[in-house]
Amino acid sequence: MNSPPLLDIRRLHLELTGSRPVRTLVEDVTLSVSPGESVGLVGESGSGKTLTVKAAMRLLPSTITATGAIDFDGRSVLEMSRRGLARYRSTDVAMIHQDPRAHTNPLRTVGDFLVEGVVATKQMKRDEAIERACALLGEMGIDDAPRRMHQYPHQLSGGLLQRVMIAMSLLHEPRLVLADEPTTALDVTVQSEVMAILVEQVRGRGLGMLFITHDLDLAAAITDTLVVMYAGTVVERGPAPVLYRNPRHPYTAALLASRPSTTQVKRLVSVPGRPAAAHEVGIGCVFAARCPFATDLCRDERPAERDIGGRTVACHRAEEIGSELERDVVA
Amino acid sequence: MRTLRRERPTSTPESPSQRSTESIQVTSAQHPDVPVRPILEVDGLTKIFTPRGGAEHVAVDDVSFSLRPGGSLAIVGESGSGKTTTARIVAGLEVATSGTVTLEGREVDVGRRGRGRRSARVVQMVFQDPFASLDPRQRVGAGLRELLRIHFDLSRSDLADRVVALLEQVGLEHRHAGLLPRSLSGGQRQRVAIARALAVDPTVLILDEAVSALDVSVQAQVLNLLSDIRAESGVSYLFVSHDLGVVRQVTDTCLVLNRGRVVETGATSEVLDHPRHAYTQALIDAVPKPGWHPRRRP
Repeated sequence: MNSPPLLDIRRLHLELTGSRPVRTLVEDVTLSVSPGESVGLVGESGSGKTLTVKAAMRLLPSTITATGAIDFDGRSVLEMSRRGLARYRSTDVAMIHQDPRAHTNPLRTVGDFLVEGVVATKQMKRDEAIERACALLGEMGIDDAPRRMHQYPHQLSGGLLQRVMIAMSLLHEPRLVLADEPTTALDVTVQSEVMAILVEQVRGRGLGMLFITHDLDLAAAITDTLVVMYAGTVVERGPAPVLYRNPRHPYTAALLASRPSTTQVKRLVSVPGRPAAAHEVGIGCVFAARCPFATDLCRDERPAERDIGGRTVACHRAEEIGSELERDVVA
Repeated sequence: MRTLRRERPTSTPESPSQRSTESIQVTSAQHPDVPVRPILEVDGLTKIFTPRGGAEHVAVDDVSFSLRPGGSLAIVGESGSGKTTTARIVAGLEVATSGTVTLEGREVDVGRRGRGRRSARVVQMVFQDPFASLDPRQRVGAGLRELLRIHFDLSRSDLADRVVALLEQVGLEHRHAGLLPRSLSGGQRQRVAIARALAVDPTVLILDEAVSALDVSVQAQVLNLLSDIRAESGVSYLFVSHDLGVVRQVTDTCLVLNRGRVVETGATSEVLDHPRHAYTQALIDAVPKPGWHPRRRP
């Protein structure tokens, strides 16, 4: 990662100011995506992963205040003017949502949906856009693209519609793709196919990708870097193979150990309690309440991010417990 | 008429000790050399949906399987495979076009929805979404008491004891009885749904994607709980799921459905380790794991 990062989020803090008391949603999140790099943002519900990505596109409601820094290619996203922001959203980044059906207009044809963005922002003429969109759909294995362009979303299956979403997100040739659980709503065999297409397109064009998922196995398989979030903070981040093979944060290890295996039957290592939200955790480590290794220090003081063994981890006891965590995952 | 039911007092709640002796009987009955009569037998089940003015759609096509007492059978498949429809017919929530369902040796009327209180006590169902399957205005304890009052004739104190025992069985505490579903987390709600199903002491528990909506760390807790409940009470599971990892952990036999038809059936470990059918292989290959490369369909 010698090139400067495409997206650089530093010490991002999100607060819900519309409510009383003011609630912290995301705290101290730092992550970056370089050109051509795929970053997996992994966490359970309420961990703040979607909010972080929405903040990167400045799509948050006005009741949420963002502080810290979000830079895209050296420009501050948080300080962009209205016009600058519109240009940033329409040319530099693209977002693929979880549920394609909720993000398409049921009353407009697939073709209208695909070309609307680029035509409205005058990046392409309509005819040219339609031609390009057809070509893109073709690359994604949709043979009868011209016919599909005249169909409505309800006439397409979930997997097909998600491919249309991917085509739409790539039509304006963005440099960064933000994918929010793009395959969670799909069947496994369809997920495999849609992932293959997404990875192929992103790698082939040398794009940066921030891939959000709750599935650590999926993220580890298709991304270069993993960022694991819990209760609004990043607990561990580093190269995907390193984190996957020997996690140093107890939460990352717990996520790996609690996933049921298809090849062996074992008593699952379950974490007591439920995933917490950022405003529910105290002053100590965010995971302290559920962590089997927690000490008084963990409960009283929030651990800072430290570099250990090729990754960044926020745990007071990362060095001491490293070997035990490895054993857990292997067993 | 439930003559084939294991001997048990139906009018009083069982104490934990009675449960444990029962599970011993069940384990002895599980011995492979001793032929056991299946608790649930499904034969040639077919369901055809005919939409108004539309073409016929065969959702379930000649599906047969059987479930032994204390066993756990998985119905695996993707959306549209007919797995949920099959489960709903067994539960009496859906009408079959043809085929038979035999519960505890008695054939049930698959042409009729809702089979009355007695049948409800044999088969219970836990649904996928714990946010949708509970009454938002009924407290957890009140819901359990209502169920118990309908099905059993219990004194007030027995009723209270049974509610506490049920909550404990699913890993909840006494204080949860006073809460509304909205104050519970997703995992706790699913535990309540399981407690409600167990309240009537069913012989078959149908779990329709019962852990799919849960976060992984909570899913692991519920899966462990389900294994424990089966080991302790000897209840049988019909486990509907698309998740092969989950299926591996909690079932011993499985049935792979594709477009309403059974493509493969056998011991779960055998089917997942040595799949014979190309569709089963495709399902297994599509599960992300280390070194996995997403593949386009040929």
